Amino acid sequence: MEENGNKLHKTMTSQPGMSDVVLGCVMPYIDDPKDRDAVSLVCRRWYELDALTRKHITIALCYTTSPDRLRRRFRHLESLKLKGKPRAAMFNLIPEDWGGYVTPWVNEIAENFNCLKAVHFRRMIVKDSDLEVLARSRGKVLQVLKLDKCSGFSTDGLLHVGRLCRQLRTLFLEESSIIEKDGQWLHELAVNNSVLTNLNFYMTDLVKVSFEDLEFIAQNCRNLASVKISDCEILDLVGFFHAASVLEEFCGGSFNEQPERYTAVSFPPRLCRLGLTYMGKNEMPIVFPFASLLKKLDLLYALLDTEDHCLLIQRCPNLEVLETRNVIGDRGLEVLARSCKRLKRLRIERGADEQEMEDEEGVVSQRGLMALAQGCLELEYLAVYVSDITNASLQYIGTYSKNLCDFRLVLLDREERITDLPLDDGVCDLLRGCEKLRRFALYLRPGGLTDVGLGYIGQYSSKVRWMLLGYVGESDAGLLEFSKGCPSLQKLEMRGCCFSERALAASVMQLTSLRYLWVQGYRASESGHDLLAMARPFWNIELIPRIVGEDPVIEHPAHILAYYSLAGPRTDFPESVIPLDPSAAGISS
Amino acid sequence: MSRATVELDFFGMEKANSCKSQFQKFIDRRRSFRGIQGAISKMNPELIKSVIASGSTNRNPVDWRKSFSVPSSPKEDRSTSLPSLPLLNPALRSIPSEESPETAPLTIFYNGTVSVINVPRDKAESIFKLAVEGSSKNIESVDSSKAANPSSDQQNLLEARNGDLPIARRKSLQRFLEKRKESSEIFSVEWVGIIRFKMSTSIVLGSCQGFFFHLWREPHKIHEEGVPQGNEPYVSARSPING
Repeated sequence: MEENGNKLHKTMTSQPGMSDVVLGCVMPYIDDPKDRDAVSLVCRRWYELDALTRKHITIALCYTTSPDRLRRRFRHLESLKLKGKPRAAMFNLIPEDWGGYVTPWVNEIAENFNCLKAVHFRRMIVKDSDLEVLARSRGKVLQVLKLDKCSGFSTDGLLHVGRLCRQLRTLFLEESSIIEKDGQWLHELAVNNSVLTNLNFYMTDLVKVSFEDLEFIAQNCRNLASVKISDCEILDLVGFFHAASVLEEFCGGSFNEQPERYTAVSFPPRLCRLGLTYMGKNEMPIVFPFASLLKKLDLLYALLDTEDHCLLIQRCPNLEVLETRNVIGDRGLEVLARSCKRLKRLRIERGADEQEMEDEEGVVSQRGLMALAQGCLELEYLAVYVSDITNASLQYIGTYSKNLCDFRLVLLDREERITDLPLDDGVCDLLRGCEKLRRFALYLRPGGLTDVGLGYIGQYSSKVRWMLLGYVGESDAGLLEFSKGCPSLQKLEMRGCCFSERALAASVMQLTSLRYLWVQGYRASESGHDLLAMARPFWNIELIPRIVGEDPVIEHPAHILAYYSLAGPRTDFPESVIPLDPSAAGISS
Repeated sequence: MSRATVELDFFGMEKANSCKSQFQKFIDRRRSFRGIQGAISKMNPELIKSVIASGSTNRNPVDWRKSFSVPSSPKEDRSTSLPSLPLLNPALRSIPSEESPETAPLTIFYNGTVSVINVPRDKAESIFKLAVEGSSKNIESVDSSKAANPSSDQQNLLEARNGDLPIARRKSLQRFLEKRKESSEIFSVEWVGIIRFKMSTSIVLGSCQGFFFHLWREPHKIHEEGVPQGNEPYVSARSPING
C-alpha cells in the first residue's frame, strides 16, 4: 500500500497532467458519499477534483454548515438534499417554528449554483417567496423539486413552480403542510409541463385540485410513471388511468360510492406499486386482477381488517415492499411469510389504540415475527410496532434475516405484562447475527433492557450509524458501557432515558463517530451545567426547555439537541429553543 | 295517538336508490332521522307496552332474539324483511309510571340490533357487568368516551404510565386515525343522539363496539341495511373526506 502511495505521489509530482486525466475518468464513477469522503482526504489535488466533480450532496442538518461554505467547495453541484428539523418533528414533538429555513439556501442557489438541477428539502420551512425565487432563477433547468414534510408555504408558491419550471420531471410534496387557496397550481403544471414523470402530493390534504387537471397531465406527459395524490374520488379518475398508460405507481384516492361501481375502474397495465387510501373490504377485489404484479403495497391508510390482509397478501407473490398498520396481525404476517418470498421492506405502523376502531386480531407479537424471519429471508428493512415480544423472536431474526440493514422495534404500552423481558439476550443475538445492520431502533419500557443489554448494543453494533433508543438501560453505568462501543455511530436519538446529564455528556465524549445527538426525557440537573461536560469546539448544544401547558394540562419534557457544526451557533433561534453557551457563566432555564 | 303501526326503514333494508343525486340523498337522510323522531311520537303506546312486556319476561337478559329486536342483515341473508319497528320513543316515558317503580326500560344496541327491555335496577347492573367483562378493558359508553376524549394531539402528549413519555405517533398516521374516528363518532352520535332522546335508561354499551366495528368493517352493508347513503362526510363512514 505504501509503495503504491509513493508511486502515486511520484506520478503526481512528475506528471500532474496525466494523473488528472486518469482521475478525471475515474472520479465520475465514484458515487458513494463515503468513498467520495475518503477520496477528498487523500491530498489537496484529489480534494479539488472531488469538489469539481461531485454531483450530489446531502446535508443531514442544515445548521452544520452554511450556504456560503457549500458554494465555495462544490460550485458545480447538480443535486442537493437538505434536512432541517430533527426527525422527532414527524411525531409532533418539535415546535413548528424550531427552524430549518430554506431562504438563505435558496438565495445562494439562485445566485451561484448554476448547475443545480435537483433540490430536496426535508422537514424545512419554505415560504412562497422562496419558491418564487427558486422558480424564477432556476426554473429553466430545475428537474427535481422535493418539498418533503415541509411547511410554511401555500398553493400560491406552487403557482410559480407550475408556471416557470417547465423541465420538471419530479414534483414531490408528500406530507407537507400546505395552505390551500385553490387548485390553480396543478392546472399551471398541466398546461406548462410535458416531461413530468413523478407527481406526488400524497398526505397533503389538498382537496381543491381538479381531477381534470390530473387527466390533462396524464395526456401531456407521456412518461408519467408515478402519481401519488390526496383524496380524489377514484371513479373520477377513470379517464386519468386510461390516459396514464405507462403508470407504474399510484397512491391516494378515496371510495365514496357503492363498491360495485368500482369494478368499472381499469388500472394501467404496468401498475406495480399501489396504495389506495380508504380502501375497504368491498373495494379490495378491484386489485385482485393484477395483484400478482404488485411489488409495493401501501395499506397504511386503508380500511382493512386482519382477514382482508390475509386475502390480499396471499395473492401478491411478487411483493417486495409492504407498509401497513398492526391490524395485519400475527396471522397476516404468517400469510406474508408463506406467500411473499421476495419481501425486502416491511413497515408495520401502530393502529388506533381504541379497541373498537381496529380488528381484535390486529396485534403483532413474537409469533408473527418468528414466522416472518423464517419465511422472508431477503428482508432488508423491518420496522414494527409489537404488543408482545420474546428473546427467541429476536434470536430468530438474528439467525434468518441476514440481509437486514435497518431494524426498528417499538414495544407498545397497552399490555401490562410482556411475555419475556428483559430482551438482553435477544438483542445481543440479533445484532451479532445481522451483520449488515446500519440503522437500529429499540423502543421499550422500564425493565425492557438492562444495563448489560445496553452494553451488548454498544459491543455488537459495529456498523450501525443511526440509533433510536427508548426506555432502555437501568442506570448511568449502562450508558457509559454502551458508549465504549458503537464505533460507527454518527447519529443518536434517545427518549425516556433514566440517564443523568453527566452520563449523557460523558458518553458523547466517548462515542468516537458521533456528530448528532437528540434526547428527550432524561434526568436533568438543576442548573443544566452538567451538560457542559461535553462542550467542545464546533459542538453546538441547544435546549428546548420543558413546557408545561395549562389548557389542556400537558407536559413536554425538555429536549437536548447537540451537533457538530462548521458554521458556529445558529443565528435564527425562536423563543422555544435555547442555545447552551459554554462561555456563559450561568444558564438561563 | 295513532293506532297505526309505523313502519320505518330504519336500517334502510330497501336498497338505497343510487340514482338519487347527492343532494337528494342528503335530504333523504336528514328526513329519515327527523322522520324517526316524528314517527316515534306517533307510535302506539299500547303496542310498545306489549313489546316491552314480552321483553321483560326474558329470563336471560342477554338473549337478544327473545327481546324485541331488529336483526341486522347477515351476509348470506339479505332478503329478510324487517318487522315493523316500534322503537324507543318518548311515549315510553309514560310506561315506567304504569309499571312497578323499580324497573326502567333498558335500550341495548348490539351488532345491528336494537333491543328494549324493562328491567329492575339490579338486573341492569348485572347486565352492565356482563357486558364489561365480555368486552375489552377499553369499553366506554359513547357518552363518557365523548366527554373524556381528548384530541389525539393531547393524547400524544399526555403522560401515560408512571409519568413516562407516551409513545409518539407519526403525524400522517395520526391525522388518518383522527379522521376515521371523527367520521365514526359523528355517525354514532347521530344515531345515539336520537335514540337516547327522552329515554330514562338507555345504555349504549361497549357492544356498540360490535355495531360500529361492524360499521367500519362492512360499511356498505350499512348502506344496504342502514340509512340511505350520501356523499357528505359525516355519513360516509367509508371516506371521511369529502372528495
